[in-house]
Amino acid sequence: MNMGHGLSANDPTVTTAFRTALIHQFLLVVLLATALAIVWNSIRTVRYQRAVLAGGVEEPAPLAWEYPEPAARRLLRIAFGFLWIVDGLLQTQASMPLGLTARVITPSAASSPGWVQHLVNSGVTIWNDHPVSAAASVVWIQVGIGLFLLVAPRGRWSRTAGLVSAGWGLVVWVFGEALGGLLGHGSSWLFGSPGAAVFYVAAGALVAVPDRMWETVRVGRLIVRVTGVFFLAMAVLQAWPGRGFWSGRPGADGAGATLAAMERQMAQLSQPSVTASWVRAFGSFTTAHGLLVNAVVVVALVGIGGCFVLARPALVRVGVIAGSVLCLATWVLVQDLGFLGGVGTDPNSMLPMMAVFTSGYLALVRLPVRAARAAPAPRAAAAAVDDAGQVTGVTPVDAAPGDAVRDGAPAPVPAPSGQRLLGLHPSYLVRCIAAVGAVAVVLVGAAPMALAAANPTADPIVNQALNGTANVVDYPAPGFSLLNQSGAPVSLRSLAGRTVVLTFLDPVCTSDCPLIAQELRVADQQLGADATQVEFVSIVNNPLYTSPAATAAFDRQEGMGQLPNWDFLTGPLDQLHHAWDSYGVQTAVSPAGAMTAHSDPVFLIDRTGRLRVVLTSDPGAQGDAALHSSFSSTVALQVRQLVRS
Amino acid sequence: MRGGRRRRRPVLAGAGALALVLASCGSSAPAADVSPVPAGLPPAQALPGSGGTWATLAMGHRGDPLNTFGELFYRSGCSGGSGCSGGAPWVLATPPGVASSGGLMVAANPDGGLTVGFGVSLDLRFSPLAETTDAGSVWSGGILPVALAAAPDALAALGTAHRLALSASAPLGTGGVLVSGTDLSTWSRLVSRGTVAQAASGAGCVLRSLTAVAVTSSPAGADLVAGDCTGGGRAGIFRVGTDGRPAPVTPVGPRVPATAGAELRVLRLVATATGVSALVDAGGGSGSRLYLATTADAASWTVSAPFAIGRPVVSTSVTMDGGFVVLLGGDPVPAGAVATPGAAWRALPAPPPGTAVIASGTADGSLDALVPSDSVLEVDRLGPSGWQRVQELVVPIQYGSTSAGGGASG
Repeated sequence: MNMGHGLSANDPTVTTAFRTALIHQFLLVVLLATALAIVWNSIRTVRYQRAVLAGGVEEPAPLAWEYPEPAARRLLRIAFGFLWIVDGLLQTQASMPLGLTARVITPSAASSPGWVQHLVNSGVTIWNDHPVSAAASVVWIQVGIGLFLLVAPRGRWSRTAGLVSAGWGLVVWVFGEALGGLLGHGSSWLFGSPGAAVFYVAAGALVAVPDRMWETVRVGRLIVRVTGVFFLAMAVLQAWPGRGFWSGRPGADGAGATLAAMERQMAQLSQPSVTASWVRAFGSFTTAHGLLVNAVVVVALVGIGGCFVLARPALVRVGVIAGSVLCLATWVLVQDLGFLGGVGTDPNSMLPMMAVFTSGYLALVRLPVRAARAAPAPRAAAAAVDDAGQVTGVTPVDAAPGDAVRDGAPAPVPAPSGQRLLGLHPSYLVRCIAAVGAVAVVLVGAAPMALAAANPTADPIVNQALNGTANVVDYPAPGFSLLNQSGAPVSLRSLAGRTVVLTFLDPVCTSDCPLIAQELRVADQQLGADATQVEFVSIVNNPLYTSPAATAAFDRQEGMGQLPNWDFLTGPLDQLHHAWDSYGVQTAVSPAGAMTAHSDPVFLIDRTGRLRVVLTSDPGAQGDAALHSSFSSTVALQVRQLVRS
Repeated sequence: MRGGRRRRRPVLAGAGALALVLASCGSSAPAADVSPVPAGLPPAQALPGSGGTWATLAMGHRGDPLNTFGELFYRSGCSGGSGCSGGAPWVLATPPGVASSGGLMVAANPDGGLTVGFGVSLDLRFSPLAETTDAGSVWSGGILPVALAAAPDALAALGTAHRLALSASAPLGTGGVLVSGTDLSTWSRLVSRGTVAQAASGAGCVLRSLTAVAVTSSPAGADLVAGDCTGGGRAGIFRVGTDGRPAPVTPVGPRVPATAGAELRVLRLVATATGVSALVDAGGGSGSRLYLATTADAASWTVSAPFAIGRPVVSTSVTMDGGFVVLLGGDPVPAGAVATPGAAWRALPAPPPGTAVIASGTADGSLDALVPSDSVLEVDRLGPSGWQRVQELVVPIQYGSTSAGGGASG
């Protein structure tokens, strides 16, 4: 499992870059909002001018739908809209780029089966390779989805928002929550199983279903029954013996006291003292009365689950009230509000769960009333709008609330092709433009995320964070004259006109040198056409293994022979010493089976033979794949700047 | 159950404390490192050279592959007299310049030299070589373009112009035997594993793997390769000719009595001054038996009586007269035995716990148990009253040197 880079979660280089990326993207969002405002204003102006030409300006009729948005759907849409925005804002925490995978995702997947870890690791690798762009992307994707849900209450836009919400929730559930830890050890309803994102997926799917499905109690019944079964299953899991929930103190073998241990862990997170004291107090209570606490939880889960499964409105109401109390208590006392500690990504599972089962209750008891057919009224009329937002008829505004009509109302005048936008109801138009804005915000995040996912090479920021920025210098590079792997003489003078990437590698080295060679090969690929102006040169850095056979074996091992612009130079020991000394490269032969110790900087020499950049870092044998990959990106970036300067 | 455990705990604690006290009274030396050697490293071994005894074994933090190093030791053959009164001590002779995390394979040259091959480790996937003619004072480097097999007799040498190397089937190459030119870095394929397997099949045995190579000085320059064979009742030793392409391979291994159908593993194959010696393990597992086979002409063999071992062979060493000293595993006490050509197997007093190999001295025939413990090599010599500590050698192991990273070292 990829465990990060060994960097602190609050590494200043990365957090600064993250903040900068967020500011840039925020400015982009402001720009988009301004552009959309201009579009909206332009449309208004055109409509006003047309109305004037048509003989007068009237107040637009109030917008009315065939029937009002079902209360259950509205609850889900608004609740999860706000939740996504909160989640997005939580993603702006400075420690997200480096802390999320190491502190949240990897630990949550640690006890899951290998295939789950493998799946999660594919996402972790992308995040670790591009920590800044990935973290910033998630901010805008989630804020965008939240806005999308809030600004598009009805119609296709709204249902699309539900689908997007469900889709992203699924991504979060799989890659961010390791399937909610369902397949791992120690999963518990109290700790957030089956993962908050499951409720986002469910809510998104419910928002996406056609409006007519909300007209009967079937959806409500389905929601509460599924929730009931879920509660009963969680009760069984909670009551299962041997999982450490029935005792507050660890047993003789150190096992058990799972909840109390979790409480202690939560109380240690950085948070306001008041919440810490609540959690600590409840932890002490659990330690003293572990059996009682678990018994209460199990009985409550069974009771609430039973109420939901029966799906009778009176019982469901009791279940909703009891469930809400239990969820809130768990959220505060066990889950510690879910987002404290620096890398909390959401308020955990309790609030979304409450929203889902409450919506189930509303879908059971508050059905939307389809509009009754009504005669046209002489006074004001309200526009009825279809799913696409086109005006389909008018209904008297003094009709019963929600009693819009479709049939029998005046047929709309078909708008000419290309002018449908102008035919939209003004209120719906505003929402459409707002929805477009929300989608644009999602894309502000999704586009760099897609680019990051498609780019197998890590960003230079990882290497920069660990090893610092490159040393920029400007003086004539010391000369050398040696033989390459083909026996041909190569000197710095002979490379005039080309940008030179100069390294010092030990051909029989077991760790760093092979990694550096591999990353130089990747850097060559990243340079693309620019590589034709670049020569990758390495000078042997082991006084005991200087033969062409050694360099040839190294080249074969690392596949360096595929690079037409690669020279591995060697020669008489005195000339090698001259090269090492003039570039300040240290070499020391150590006893007792140790590798020859040597520094391995990378020197970038411009086409005029001047030394311009010194990279004193290397991928490092202990670094992870992201750091190695980031090294090649750093080299390619610096070389490209030299080539194009 | 719980109550029973509770009652027993003070008794166990008391016994443990007593054991600790007794242990601390009995010895002030550091405890021997009995942690297993990381997988993939060759077993320890010792062999005689013309001027003294060589031994290789793994040292360091042996549970951690990155901090385990193959070390080479040398003990001069002088026996008393000026300069080495009481017998010469063991000295560290590991060739420099390459990380030895993959272990060391060695071949003694009849002309007095020693060829050392580095086992592959981490990202190094071919085997650097080193050769000395002055007991490790000066080394010259060479390159085997493939990975050397992690076996005690993966290298063989007859002078500086004829060396054999047994290559691993991975990570580079497909397994087989390479032969060198005059240069330690110039190698060509002598025979592939497939060709040897084909010859083995003709002799009624299924070849499992190749385990050893040898170049004989008598008969001069005969190339031998050995492997593990099942069926046929004949040890998998083959002579590789030079006249033909592919080189003709002839089974020359000895018939081992009453082993038809059993797996015969050739643990060692070494050229001696008088011919060739092989150590053959028949059967495997608890019914395992060892045989010493010797030949003067690489054709007709003398096979010893079987020696039932019933436990795994940990390491082996070669004696001056072409016999073998075998170290057998055991917890906590290992066992040892000596096989001498023409004589019966002789069991040794139990060597000290943690012994990696028992080396035989070239001059006095003394037996030394080499016991590694992190960075310290303890030497216990077998005397009339059993094993006696004769030397402690501190080895300057550079922990962390194979994973330095961070640009400090390579």
